[in-house]
Amino acid sequence: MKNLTLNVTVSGGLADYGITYRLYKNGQLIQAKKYPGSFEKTFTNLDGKYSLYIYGTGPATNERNVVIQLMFDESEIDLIESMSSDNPLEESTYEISGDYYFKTL
Amino acid sequence: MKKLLIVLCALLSYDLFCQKSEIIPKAEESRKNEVKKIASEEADDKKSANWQDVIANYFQLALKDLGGENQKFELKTTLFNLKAQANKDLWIDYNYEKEKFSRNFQIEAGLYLKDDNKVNAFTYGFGWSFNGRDRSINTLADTKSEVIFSHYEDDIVAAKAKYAYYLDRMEDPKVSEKVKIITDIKDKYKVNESQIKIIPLTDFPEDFRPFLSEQYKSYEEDFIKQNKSDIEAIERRLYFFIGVNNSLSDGSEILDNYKINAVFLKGIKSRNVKLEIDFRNHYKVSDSTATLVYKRKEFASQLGLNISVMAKNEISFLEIKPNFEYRKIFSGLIIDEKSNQFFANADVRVRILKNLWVPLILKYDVDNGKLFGFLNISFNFKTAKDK
Repeated sequence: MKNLTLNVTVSGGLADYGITYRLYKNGQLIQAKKYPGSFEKTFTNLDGKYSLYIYGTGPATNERNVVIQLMFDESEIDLIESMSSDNPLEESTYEISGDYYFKTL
Repeated sequence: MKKLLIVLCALLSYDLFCQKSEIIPKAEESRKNEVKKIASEEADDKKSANWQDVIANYFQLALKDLGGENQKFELKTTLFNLKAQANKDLWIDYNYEKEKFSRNFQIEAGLYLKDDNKVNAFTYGFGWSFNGRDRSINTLADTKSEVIFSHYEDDIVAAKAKYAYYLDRMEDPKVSEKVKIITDIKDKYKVNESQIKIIPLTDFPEDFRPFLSEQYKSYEEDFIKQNKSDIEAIERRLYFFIGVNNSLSDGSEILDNYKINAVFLKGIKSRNVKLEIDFRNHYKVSDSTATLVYKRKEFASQLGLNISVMAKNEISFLEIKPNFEYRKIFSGLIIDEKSNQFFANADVRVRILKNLWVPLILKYDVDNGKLFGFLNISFNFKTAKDK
């Protein structure tokens, strides 16, 4: 059982256009969902190479802040850092996005 | 009392500015985000001065009636801002949404100064608003522009996933660099904009473009028009405020001087300029300024239209609010003063600096043919939120 948890925290108001995640395996979409704001999602039974994209907007305020964080066991999952965004990633722009590429070990 | 007030003001100022100093250890991060912050502030710049004068989204400092007999130094904030100083988690969306009352509950405190700048009176007050145009809560979800934005974002993400897979399958030696280029292009377009800026097709590398859909070229034009229209629809929504404030001076009692006021704002759809109906009423009880001590009780009703005359990139620089005012003095008439008064007014607001508006209020007494002028200054501090 190789799992990865995605945690997105929105602060400073409500995300203007919401925040979406999309999980791809071998270029094929396998899971996607749009949320109005903060959320946590655990991907279970992972096996192979994946790309995970988180995107949308933060709140339309001066105080906006969005934190994207992936949590996983490094002995099970290898995050390809050369291609991926920072983890955790803190965004204070209106439009936000985090791209992550990883494979199971 | 004067000392107590000065200490209160100093504490508030200390809190505001010391929180900024807590950010200093994160200097590098702050520098990285500086450009982004400047861009994000543009969103609030677009609010009209007329609206900002009513509700304090920030810690607002106002100097009123400068050079007049009743110079006033005033601080306004919301209950939420005070609570959030102690609990930063209140800023998180699911907590923020629940704080409906505190976000809309305004607190103010101020000092009236005499000619020699000595404190004449202390004022305090509170009020509640129904703010249908609060962009922190009223989002663009379920709008037409959201549909376009979702298609645009989904299109890019699907292309990125296919592109990365393609490069990997082809065992391209530069797969990491090529994928990173796409990420960097996306980042570049979110740095300097407070709104969504659609990435032109030609900004993407040639080998990436075929992975985007046929519709990609049409997103920019469709989105810009619809996004502007959706935001304006929110900004035209109803805003209502009701509040009370009380003034205390040496020898006065709690209800000797008070004011109850109500403000109603509603935007009107128009093509070229921003228009807003502004309807205000107040009931005021005060000690007369005459040597004989007696109560003055007055009711005033003001109806006007706020017009954003000069704006650049939707940021307003000059606003004019022609309005008519009716006053009924129930008691405490000054010599030769009428109990029913009519005024034709014009409030002119000029943006001097980013957060500094100078409102000049011209008042014409219709019955007596006299013209008066008042000058106020208000400054909005950015909310000091520890990131």
